[in-house]
Amino acid sequence: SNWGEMANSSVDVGTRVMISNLADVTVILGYFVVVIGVGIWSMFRTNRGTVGGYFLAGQTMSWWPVGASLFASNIGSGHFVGLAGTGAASGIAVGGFEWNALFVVLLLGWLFVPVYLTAGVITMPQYLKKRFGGTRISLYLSVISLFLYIFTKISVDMFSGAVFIQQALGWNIYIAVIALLSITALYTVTGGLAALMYTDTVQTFVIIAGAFVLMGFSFYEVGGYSALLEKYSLALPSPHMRLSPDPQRFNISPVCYTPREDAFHLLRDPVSGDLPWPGVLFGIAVVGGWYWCTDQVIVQRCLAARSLTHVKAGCILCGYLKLLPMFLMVFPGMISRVLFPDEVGCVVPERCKEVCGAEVGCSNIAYPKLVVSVMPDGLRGLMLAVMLAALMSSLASIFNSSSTLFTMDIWTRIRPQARDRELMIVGRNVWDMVWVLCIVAISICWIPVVQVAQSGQLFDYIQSVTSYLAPPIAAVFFLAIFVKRVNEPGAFWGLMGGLLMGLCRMGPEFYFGSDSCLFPSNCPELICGVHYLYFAVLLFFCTGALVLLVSCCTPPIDDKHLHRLVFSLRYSKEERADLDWEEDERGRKAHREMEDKHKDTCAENRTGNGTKSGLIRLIDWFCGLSGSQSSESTEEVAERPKQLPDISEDLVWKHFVNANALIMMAVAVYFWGFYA
Amino acid sequence: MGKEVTALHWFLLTLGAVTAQAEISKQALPNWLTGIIAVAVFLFLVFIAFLVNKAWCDDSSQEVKVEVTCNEYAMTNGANYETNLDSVRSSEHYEAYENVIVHKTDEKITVM
Repeated sequence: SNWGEMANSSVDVGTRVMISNLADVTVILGYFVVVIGVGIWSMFRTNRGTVGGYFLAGQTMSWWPVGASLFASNIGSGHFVGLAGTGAASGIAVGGFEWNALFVVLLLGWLFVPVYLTAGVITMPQYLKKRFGGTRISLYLSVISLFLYIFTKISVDMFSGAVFIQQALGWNIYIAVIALLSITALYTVTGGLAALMYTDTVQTFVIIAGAFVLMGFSFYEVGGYSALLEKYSLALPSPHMRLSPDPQRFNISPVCYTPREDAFHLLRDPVSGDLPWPGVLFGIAVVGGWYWCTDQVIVQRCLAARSLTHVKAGCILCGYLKLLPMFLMVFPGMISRVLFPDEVGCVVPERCKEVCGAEVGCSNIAYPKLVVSVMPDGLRGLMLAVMLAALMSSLASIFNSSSTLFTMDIWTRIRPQARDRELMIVGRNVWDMVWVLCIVAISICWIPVVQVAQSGQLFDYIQSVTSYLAPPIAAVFFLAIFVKRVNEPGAFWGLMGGLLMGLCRMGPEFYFGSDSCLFPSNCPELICGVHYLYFAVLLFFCTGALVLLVSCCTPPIDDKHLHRLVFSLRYSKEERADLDWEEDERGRKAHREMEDKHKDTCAENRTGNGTKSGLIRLIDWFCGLSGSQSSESTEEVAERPKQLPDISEDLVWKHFVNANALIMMAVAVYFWGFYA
Repeated sequence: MGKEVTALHWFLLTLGAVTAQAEISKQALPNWLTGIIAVAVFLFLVFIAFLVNKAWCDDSSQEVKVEVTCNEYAMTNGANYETNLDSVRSSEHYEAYENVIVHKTDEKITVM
C-alpha cells in the first residue's frame, strides 16, 4: 500500500502542469505574439540582408558591446541546465569551468586576436589556409567543428529546452523536442526568427536579469548563504526514496545519495576527486583555449571591435561577467537539491524515470524545477518564454551556419562545376533543407546518449566530448601562432593523430557507457580510468609533440609567406606572399557568380509569386540570410588586404588595460582562493 | 602476525585521526583568508615576472644602443664632421676609440 501511494504521488509530481495560472499563460502568449508581430513587420519594412551586417558590425564596436556579446554568445540554455545540474549533483567544482575562462579570455585578447587582426582574416579556416596553405586542414576544421556543433551544441540545446518544457508542462522529452522544432519552423516561416536574431543579445540579458531574480528568490527560500552551507550536506532523499525496490539486482550504497563532502571546494583530490584539481586548472585551460581562442563564434565578436585596445577591454569585461555563473547557476542548482531532495537528488532508477524520464539521475532538472516552483506568477512565464525564444534563435542560427558551411565548403568541393542556373539554385535550397533535416535527425537520435552520459550530468558530458576532440585543434592553433617552424604536413598529421587518439578514448566510453554510481561500466580501466580533463592535457601535449616532430622532418615555410601571420612577426610591414592566393582568387570569382545567380532567383521568387506559400517563404528565408552573409564576406575579403591592419595602441591606454587585466586576475585569484 | 596487523590498524587509525585533525585545522582557516593569501602569492609572482621582464628588456635595449653608436660613424658618408668623441668611442672600453680610417680603407680596396 505504501508503494502504491508513493507511485501515485510521484506520478502526480511528474505530470502536474506547472504553468496553469492566467498571468504566466498571458505573458508567454504575449511574448510570442509580439516577437512574431515584430518579425512580420520587419519582413515588410526592412530587407533582411542587414542581418549579416549586424553580425559582423563592420569593425566599429566599442569595448562594452564586445564584452557583453562575448558573454552572451557563450551563455546558453545548456549552461543553465548543465551548470545547475552538476552543481546540484556534486557541488561548486563545476564553477571552475567558468572561472578558468577568466584567464583564457585574456589569452584571447593579448595573444591571439593581435595575430588574427594583422593577418586580416575573418574566419578561422581562412587563417589556417593563409598560415599553412593547402585546403585539407581547413576542410578538416570545418568538418570537426560541425561534428562538435551537433554533439555539444544542437543536441544539448534541444535537450535542455525539452527539459524546461517537460518541467513546465509535464510533457515527454521527445514530444517537447518536436514541439520546440515545430515552433522554430513556425517562427522561420513567419519571419519571427529575424526579429529574434536582432534581439539575441538583449534576450540574453533579460535571461540573466531573470536569473538574478531567481537567485534572490531561491536564497530567500533556503534561508541565506550560510543556511545553504549547512543544509546542502543534509539534502538526502527521504528514506523510502532511497530503498532499492529490487535488492537482488542492486543495492544502493549511501555514497550514491549523500552529497559530497568536498561540495564547497573548487580544488579536489587529484586521484579520487570527481573533478581533480590539476585537471580543473590545466585541462579546462586546454579545452577553454579551443573554445575561446580558436572558435569562430567567439573570435568573430572580437574582430568586430574598433581597435585592439577595445578588444582587450572587452575581454576584461567578459572576464568579470564570467564570475557570475557560479552565483547565478551553480548555487541555485545546489539550493534546488536542498529544496527538492526527492526529485533533484533521486537515486532509485525507477523513481528517477518517473520524475524526469532518465534512470541515471535527475540533477538536470535542478534549474527548470527552481524556475517553475520558486518564481512568482508572471515572471515565471517571462523567464520560460525568453529562454525558449533564445534557444530557438540559437538553434536556427546554428542550422543556418552549418548549412552554409555544408554548401560552401563541402558541397562545392564534391561538385565543383556550376550547373544550369535554375537547377543549381533550387538544388542548393533543397540540399540545404535535407541537410538541416539530417542534422535534426542525428541530434534527436543522440539525445538519449546526452541524457544518460556522465551519470546524467549535462555539463560533464559537454566538457568530456570537447576534451576528446578539441585539444588537437587548440594545440595546432597554439603552435601555428607561436612557432614559425610549424608547417602544413606537421599541422595536418598532428590533427589526424590527435583525432585518432581522441576517438580511441571516446568510442569505448560511449560503447560501454560511462560509470554511474549504482552500475559501474565495463569499460577497461586503462581507457576510461583516466579522467577526461587529464586526457585533454595529455592529448594537447601529444598532438603538440607530433606536430613539431613532423614539421622538423619536412621543409619549413619561408618567412615571406608568414608576415603578420605568426606572433613574432605581427608588427612586420613587409609584403606577404599569401599561400592561398590562387585558390582565394578562384574561390572569390566562383562565389561572386553564384551569388549573382542566387540574387536573381531570389528576386524572381519574390516578384513571381503574389501569394507565397510557406515552403517558398522558407526557401526565401534561406536565400535572404545565406545570400546576405556570403556577400558580406566576399566584400570583406576583397577589401581587407588593401590596407595593412593596424594593431598599434596608445601607450597610456595600453598600460591602462594591462593594469585592469591584472586587477581582474587578482579578483579571479581571490575567488579561486576563497572557494578552494 | 596478529600483533603486526593490530599495529597496522592502530597506525591507520592514528593516520586517519591526524588527517581528520588536519582537515579541521584547514576548516579553521577562513575562506577570505585563503583568498587573500592566494592574491598575495599571485601578486608576488606577477611582481617577480615583472622584474625579470624588466631586467631582460633593459639588457637587450642597452645592447641595441651600443650597437647603434658604434655603427653610426660608419653610416655617415664623410660629409658631416662629428665633433663628438662618442661617435668613435670603442664598444670594448670607455676610454678607447675606434680607428675610423681603417674601416674606410677596407672599403676602398680596388682591383689592381
